[in-house]
Amino acid sequence: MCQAIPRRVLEVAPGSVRAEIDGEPRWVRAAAHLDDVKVGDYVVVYAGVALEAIDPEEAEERLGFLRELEAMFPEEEPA
Amino acid sequence: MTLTAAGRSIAGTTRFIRYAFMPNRLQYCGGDDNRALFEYALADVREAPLVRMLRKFSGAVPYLVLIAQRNGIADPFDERVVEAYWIGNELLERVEAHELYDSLRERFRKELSPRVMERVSGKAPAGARPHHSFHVFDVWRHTERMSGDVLATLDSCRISWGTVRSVEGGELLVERSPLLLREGKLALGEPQTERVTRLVEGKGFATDARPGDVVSVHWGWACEVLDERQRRALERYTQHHIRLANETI
Repeated sequence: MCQAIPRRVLEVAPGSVRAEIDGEPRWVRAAAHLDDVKVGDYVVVYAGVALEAIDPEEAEERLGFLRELEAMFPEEEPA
Repeated sequence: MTLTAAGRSIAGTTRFIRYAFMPNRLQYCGGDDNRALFEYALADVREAPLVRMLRKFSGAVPYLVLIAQRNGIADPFDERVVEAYWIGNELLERVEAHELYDSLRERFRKELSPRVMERVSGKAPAGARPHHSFHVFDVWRHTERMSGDVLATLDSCRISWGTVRSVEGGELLVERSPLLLREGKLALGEPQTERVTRLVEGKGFATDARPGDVVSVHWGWACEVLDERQRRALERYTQHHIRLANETI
């Protein structure tokens, strides 16, 4: 929450990109210098704004780290 | 504190939503469950579907787990744990943020590449606590382009506090110290009067706020009325993480 997290770009439009955020594809505003971002690229998204492009390898590593964090969660309580 | 039949705190989930509600409404984090979250918090009800919704807040939950574990508390959504993360309390004195990464490193030592190990090892500076303000000011270490817009975003994203001057319909007029850059370093400025939202569709979590009360604020939303102990803790941990962030700015 309120963290800068790499997100894969799913779709591009003028001034915005669609990225997968916490399991939901969402449109976010793209910073002005991100005018050459493409589908499949990774961007760092912070509070609804894509701030910068990030190397795919580094993005995958960061995302892998977050996935491993999730693996540390305790089991869900029963319904 | 309200307890379920099993004796577990439900006020913790309610308090979590009080702070997560507005950024989720703005679609910055969590899943697409905003109305349900709001209703759960207003009703102060905890049940399994709610906990599944809260787990979608992928940035916060690992820290709740860490705080709970280091303090011998089984439930990561215990009211004390949730308060520690958003506001700050004595539970943070027994844990540093880097412990999350240390334990992860131990667990995944064989699976992580040296490059990732390096990143994980250096993730949290010494002295950082698993408090929301650490996340917010840590953004400085993850991006290279910090504009005025981003500073304003950090100010909205941190949990701040303001003294209520008047109640005006669905809003509160509060005096709040803004985050600013002073000689190139983060700092809190002199209090300024500003409006914060206290009601959505006639409902909210600070409906009893009166002039003179101090409320916590997240993304322009009045999360709840704070007592003096909570205000002091929020100020203390906010200033602590500003100081840490300024070491690398």
